[in-house]
Amino acid sequence: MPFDESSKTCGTDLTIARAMRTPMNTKRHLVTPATLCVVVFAVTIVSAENQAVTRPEPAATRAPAPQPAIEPEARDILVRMAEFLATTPRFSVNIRSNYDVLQESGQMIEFGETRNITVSRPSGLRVEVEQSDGDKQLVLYDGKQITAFSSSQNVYAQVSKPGDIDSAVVYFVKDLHMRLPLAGIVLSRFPVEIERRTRSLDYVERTVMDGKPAHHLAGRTATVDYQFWIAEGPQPLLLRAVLTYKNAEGDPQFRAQLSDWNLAPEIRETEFIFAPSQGMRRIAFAAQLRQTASGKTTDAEKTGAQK
Amino acid sequence: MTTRASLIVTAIAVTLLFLMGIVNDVSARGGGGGRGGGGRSGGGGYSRSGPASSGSLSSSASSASSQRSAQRSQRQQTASANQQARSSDRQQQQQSMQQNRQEQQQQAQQTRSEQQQNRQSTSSQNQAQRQQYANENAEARQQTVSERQANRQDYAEDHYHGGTYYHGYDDDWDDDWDDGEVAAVALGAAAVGAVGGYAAGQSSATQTTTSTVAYVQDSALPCSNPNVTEIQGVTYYQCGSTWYTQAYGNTGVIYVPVARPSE
Repeated sequence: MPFDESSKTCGTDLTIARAMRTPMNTKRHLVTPATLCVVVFAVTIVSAENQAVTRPEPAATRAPAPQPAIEPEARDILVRMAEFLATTPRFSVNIRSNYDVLQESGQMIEFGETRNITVSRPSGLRVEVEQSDGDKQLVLYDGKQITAFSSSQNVYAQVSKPGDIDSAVVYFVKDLHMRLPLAGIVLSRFPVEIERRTRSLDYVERTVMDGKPAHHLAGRTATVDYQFWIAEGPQPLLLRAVLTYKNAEGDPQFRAQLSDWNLAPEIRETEFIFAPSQGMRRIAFAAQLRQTASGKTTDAEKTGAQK
Repeated sequence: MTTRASLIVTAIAVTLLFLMGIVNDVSARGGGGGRGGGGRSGGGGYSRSGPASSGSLSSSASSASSQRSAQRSQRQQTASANQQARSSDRQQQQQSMQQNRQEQQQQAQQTRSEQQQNRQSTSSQNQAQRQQYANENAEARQQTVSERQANRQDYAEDHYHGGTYYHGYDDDWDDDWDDGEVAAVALGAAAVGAVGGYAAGQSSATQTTTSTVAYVQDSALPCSNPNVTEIQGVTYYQCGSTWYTQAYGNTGVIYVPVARPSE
């Protein structure tokens, strides 16, 4: 039997059916074409159903989501997590994150990075960054200076900022326009920040994250919808965060998985101090160039949210 | 022969199942069309910076498409409303003429009965008003006390968390300090200027004159063989007639156009 004949569909005129009339194999082969038809039919239906489920609804037909108020139980869990982190004197955590960036072409592209964060209150902060393109960076704060170092290019930028982690982080993000995703978790005022911004909060479900029971919360600020997964138990640690930028085109997301929490890390005092080695070049923060060009002062004490 | 046919049938079934699985998977991801991976870096000039890259809890990003859609919707609504208004105006004019006549009749009758009712109710209203004033005064006093208590409690809640006072930070902090879009956009307004002093570790700014040029920033220079010059500890790169220097931006080290350095 030629192959092209056997490749016909499960119609009644199949050569396959003729071949199956051989008495010895009648019983076995009568089942086969029928099974084939049933399988194809079932798969088609299942496929159609799946497509109906997975195909997103047009935006115009989406009903507006209900606006839940702040649910007391969810608020308690959120505040307990924030206060726990804010009052933990030192900790380290690994954050593996990825985020969407809508390109000019209209295509959404995902980038990723890992961050190892070490906090020693009130004034020690170390953030080791490795981007998905392999670029490695380091951000340090020792209570006096903020330093950003690129080991890939062997250059660093440094600015004077005496104070604590809170004021340094705000200055770094707000005035120097630098990135520090999930910056809130290192702040001692994290509970105030998260409560002040949250317009609504809901308890989604009790679930399991990395093998641990966890609370899944969904909150909304004026501009960002967030989901937090917080560990149950005496150490209410943040295990996962998903932020949706609902006012931005394409609703891009930032997703982060937090692991390897250590609430008593061994920390050397020199860990937060930047000591440039020979061959490293110092450059400016881009925001400083902008300020310079526009004739503004870059004196750290005169800008930013200072206390 | 029959065995071969059986094998072919089975192969077709398996292939169909496999293909359908792939199709479902692709549609669940929102459609295919993407380029395959392969571990190579793209180098296609993809931007790493956007609202979501900030990972912050606030954003000033606004959707241009949402605005356009809203404007379209508003225009449609306005046009529709205007049409409805014109149509209903005509109907209203007809109805109002009829209603006017009926109302005039009803008003005359109502006025007569109201005058009678007014006379009867005045005395009882006076009595009820006196009682209501007394009740309202008592309620107001009670409400003032409750509000004061609530205010004190709110203040305590706002300033005291888990055994730690936040020293009234709320009044002084900028709500949008971690606004990611600011970080992405602000540098777009960066201008050309001298950068002497940073390499020497000075924090004070050098006053410079801003000149207007098309702003470009990238993690790579636009030319492969720039003219490199070091002046007062700062490295400058010249591509054509444009000078660049390195700076730390929110996506890492970038090249920023600067004024021609003076020696």
